[in-house]
Amino acid sequence: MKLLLAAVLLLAANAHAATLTLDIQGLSKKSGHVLIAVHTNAASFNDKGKPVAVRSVEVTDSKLTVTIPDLAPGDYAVSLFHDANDNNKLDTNIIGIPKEGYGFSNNVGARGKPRFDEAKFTLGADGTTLTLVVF
Amino acid sequence: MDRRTLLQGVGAALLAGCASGPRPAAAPSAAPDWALGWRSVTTDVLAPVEARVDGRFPDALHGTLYRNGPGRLERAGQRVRHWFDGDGMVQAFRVSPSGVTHHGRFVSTFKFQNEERLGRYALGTAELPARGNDAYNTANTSVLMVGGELLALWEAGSAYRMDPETLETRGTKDWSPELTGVPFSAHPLPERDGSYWNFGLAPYAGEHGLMLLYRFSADGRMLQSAHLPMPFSGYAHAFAQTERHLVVVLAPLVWDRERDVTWFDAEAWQPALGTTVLVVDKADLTRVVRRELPAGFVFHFGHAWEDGDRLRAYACWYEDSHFMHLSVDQDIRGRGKGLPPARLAQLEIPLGAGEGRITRSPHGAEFPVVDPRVPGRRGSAHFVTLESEDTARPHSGVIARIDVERGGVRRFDYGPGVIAEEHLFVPSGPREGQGWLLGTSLDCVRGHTRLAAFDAEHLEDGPVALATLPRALPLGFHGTFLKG
Ligand SMILES: [Fe+2]
Repeated sequence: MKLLLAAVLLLAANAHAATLTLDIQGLSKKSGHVLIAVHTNAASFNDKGKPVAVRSVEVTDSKLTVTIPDLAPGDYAVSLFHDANDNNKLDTNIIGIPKEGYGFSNNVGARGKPRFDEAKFTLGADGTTLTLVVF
Repeated sequence: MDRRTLLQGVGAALLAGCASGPRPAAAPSAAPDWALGWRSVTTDVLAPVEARVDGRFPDALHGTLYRNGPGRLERAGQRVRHWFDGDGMVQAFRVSPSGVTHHGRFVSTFKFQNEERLGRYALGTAELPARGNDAYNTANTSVLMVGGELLALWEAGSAYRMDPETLETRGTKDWSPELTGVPFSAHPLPERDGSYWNFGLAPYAGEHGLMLLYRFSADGRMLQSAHLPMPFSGYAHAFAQTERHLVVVLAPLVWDRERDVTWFDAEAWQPALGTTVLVVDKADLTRVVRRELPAGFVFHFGHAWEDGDRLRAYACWYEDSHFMHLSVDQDIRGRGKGLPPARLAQLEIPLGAGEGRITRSPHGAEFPVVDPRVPGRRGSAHFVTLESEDTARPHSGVIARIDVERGGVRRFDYGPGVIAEEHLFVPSGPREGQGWLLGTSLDCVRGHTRLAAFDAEHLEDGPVALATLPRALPLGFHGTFLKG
């Protein structure tokens, strides 16, 4: 019975699951972690809600690839920053300009935080690969 | 220029007690190549060369004049959008008893390094992602000696530190973790105790922008800083000080991130807002009084002082922000396109209620320099580059001393085909404005840059010494003189 339930859940997951692959480039320091959040709505994107997925990946090179499986196909936005000194926050100066690398899906945000709509992309049923350049 | 004529001129001037100094020879026949002023230097370094010196540079001027300006304005057939976007190059003119030498070097900014490597402008593309203000930093506006280092100043980000001997770049000036990569204007003002005030504008931060205020020591430590909300995200390039106040004149040139409008876009000019003056109490940087002036635009200030219930400040006053919206081609064409120059004007700013007033002088003037021995007090002498009344000349080769209190104007004309740059004042005697004037000019006919020294009380006598470089340098903005 227990085994059957597990099989059913697995089937259900497979029916909806798509994999998001992120090719992250332009990491300027080979230290710390990249902290990644995947959002389904603007509230989450603006730190007022819970992301649908988060990842923390150690940085050992100027680029890395992250796969985030089991997402339902649909619209998302990704935000990330490179916590090079592992203090769990994006360090900024006094006027709020980041001192560590950051990035968004669609590579928007070169001159400030974009809106959810600007960073939004569609994850297809067969999965999607995005190239993200870290500012 | 005929060397013999010049030398004879110098001798005669010295013998005759400076009745007439060396002047450039008769009007040149060839048409000036004004584009020389905006021509890119395509090497990283301009190796030291000897200048030809006529006359004698006074002992007080033995030292180094450092100047900064955009040295590179195009790459791979692409030109910068605005003159202010060129990569900063620092020029050093060393004056010694044995002669005058010049060398120059680009400030090795993040932008310069990477675009040199790529061979084209690429900032902000996937090829060269840009983070924070310093990614765009060209360090191209002025220079200041602080803590034994030469700072190459910009206004929207950090100063870059340079070796004053070799002009090699050491990195950004990071005052503290919080004050890393923050806007820091190219026009710090010296306080009487030897420290400096400065400001910076971040129009994209906070609700309507943030104004940063700084006080730093001559040895390079941040003593005090503050950040205050701006009333609107207007523009200021430099500021003024009186004994008790810092005076920031915010032009109604409005940065609008939502509409993607920066200060360089013509639609940013909103004269209906009027020009706003922020008067900051030096004793408490959070105490700010806001006053109104008619709409206008200022880059640079002269003397400013307290006058009872009001402040008065001299400034080079433009009626609008057109200078921010010119292309390099328009800069090269110069005047004669119906764009009036800034006029030396007195701003009257009531500390109590009421609107401020502008009193314009008839003098078209820029690059004002005053005697640094009277900071924040009433002074008379303003050394400027003067727009000549001759509208047939698209660029001015005239410098002047305008005594605003006594009303006198003394001038020297380098002649047609020459563009005069900022001239710095070096004190030598006790009177305000007693000393030497030291500055550069670009001869667009003969194709060389010159360094000249004048008796600051007798500009009309012409230079007491003139050094002619075997090269033409692109025009720069501001400099600093270091004795020794
Ligand atoms: Fe300036």
